[in-house]
Amino acid sequence: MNEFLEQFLVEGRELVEQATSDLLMLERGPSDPERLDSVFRAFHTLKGGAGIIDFAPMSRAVHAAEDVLSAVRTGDRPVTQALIGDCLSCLDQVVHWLDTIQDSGNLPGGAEADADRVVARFTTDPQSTGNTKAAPIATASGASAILPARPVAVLKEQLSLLAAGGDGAEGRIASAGRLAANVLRHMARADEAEEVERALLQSRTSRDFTFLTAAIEHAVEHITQPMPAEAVPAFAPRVAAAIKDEHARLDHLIETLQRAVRSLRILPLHWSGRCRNPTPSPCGWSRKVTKQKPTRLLLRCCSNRFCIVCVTPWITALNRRSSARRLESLASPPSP
Amino acid sequence: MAERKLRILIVDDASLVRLYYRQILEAVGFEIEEALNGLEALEKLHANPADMLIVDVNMSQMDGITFLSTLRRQPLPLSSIPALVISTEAGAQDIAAARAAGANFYLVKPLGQNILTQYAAMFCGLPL
Repeated sequence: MNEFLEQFLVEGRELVEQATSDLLMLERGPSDPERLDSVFRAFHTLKGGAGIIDFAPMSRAVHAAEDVLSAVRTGDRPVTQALIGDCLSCLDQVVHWLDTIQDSGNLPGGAEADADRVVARFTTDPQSTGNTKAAPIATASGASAILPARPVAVLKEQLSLLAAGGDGAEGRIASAGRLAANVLRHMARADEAEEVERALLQSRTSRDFTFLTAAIEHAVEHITQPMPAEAVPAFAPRVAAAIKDEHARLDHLIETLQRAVRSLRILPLHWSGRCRNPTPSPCGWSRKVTKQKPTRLLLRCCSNRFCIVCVTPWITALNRRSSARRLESLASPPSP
Repeated sequence: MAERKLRILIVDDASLVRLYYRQILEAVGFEIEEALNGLEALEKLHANPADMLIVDVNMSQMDGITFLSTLRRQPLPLSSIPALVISTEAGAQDIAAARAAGANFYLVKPLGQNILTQYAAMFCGLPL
């Protein structure tokens, strides 16, 4: 028997014992909120454990009981003898399952039908509010396991967190900024992460979270609306002209690109290219241009006769929204 | 000098859940600390801050919502630790309550190994 299963059995039996004791106490004193909380938590934890171990029928049955107890907690249902009895019956079923799991390592055949019977006891209760949610829940091996993590959703949630207000504003702002920067680093967007950190500092100093909000919104905008690669040459004709010149000197090209990048206020700008130079030496040369911080430019070449033929440029982010308009104006043909 | 391991504090009263998270996250290089409820978590954080928190909602003594609300009122940098709430409660009101308390993100149990690892990496700023 594996470690998970052993732990599940130990914890499961403890929880059944706790819940049984609480239910019996609750029968004597139905208005005891602490007892009610305790029995609810026991069912809740039991359900979670069954979900992790992938014993769906048990999870489903205990979930039905938990929902009814939840309704009691919110005042939507009273504590009755029938309700206590149903919960105890559910626990009896759980004990039977735990015994079987201990013996065989698995649930017995017919567990689904047993779970159906338990669920039916709660859903057919005449005093039920009808809101019992006994649908099977996803398990560790189920659909939730293959869903990708959602960095943009996490970034957007930080905006909601900032907007929510409430106590602990300083901690709230600091955690939102710290996490947003981490998410951006996770996505290899170090420049935007630094921008968020600068905004965080500004927000903390001024006690005004709008700086941080703007920086996170800005990053989200860049991530969700990337500029199409094929649009770049049209937006930046001078850059496009420079990189198409196979015989341009490297320093001249860099200077041209730097000037164009500075004027466009693009942050950051990444270029990569596939070199068609026939020399056998590998394309191992690269250069970062950081004069105009935080502009960054990556180029590759193979020889002094700089050769970039097939270049695929793309812009991963723009410094400000106004930069897009500036780019468009640069793309317009010059006035006669 | 060896780099410090990123430290995650798991706050959950279910030992099975803690074991599940621990095994997954330790396997990819995180250092794991555990707390059974919010009170214990606060004590542990004061002694040794974490890089990330994974927090359940329903716990005895101090639940996840109260814990987060208390944590966000602590001095910096303690109050800035990113917190991922993982609960079986999936209602909009549950998510709103967690956000109001200062949770940074909310996921519904159970989670697969890959997704838990991905969120841990994201919360700690590790590359994809």
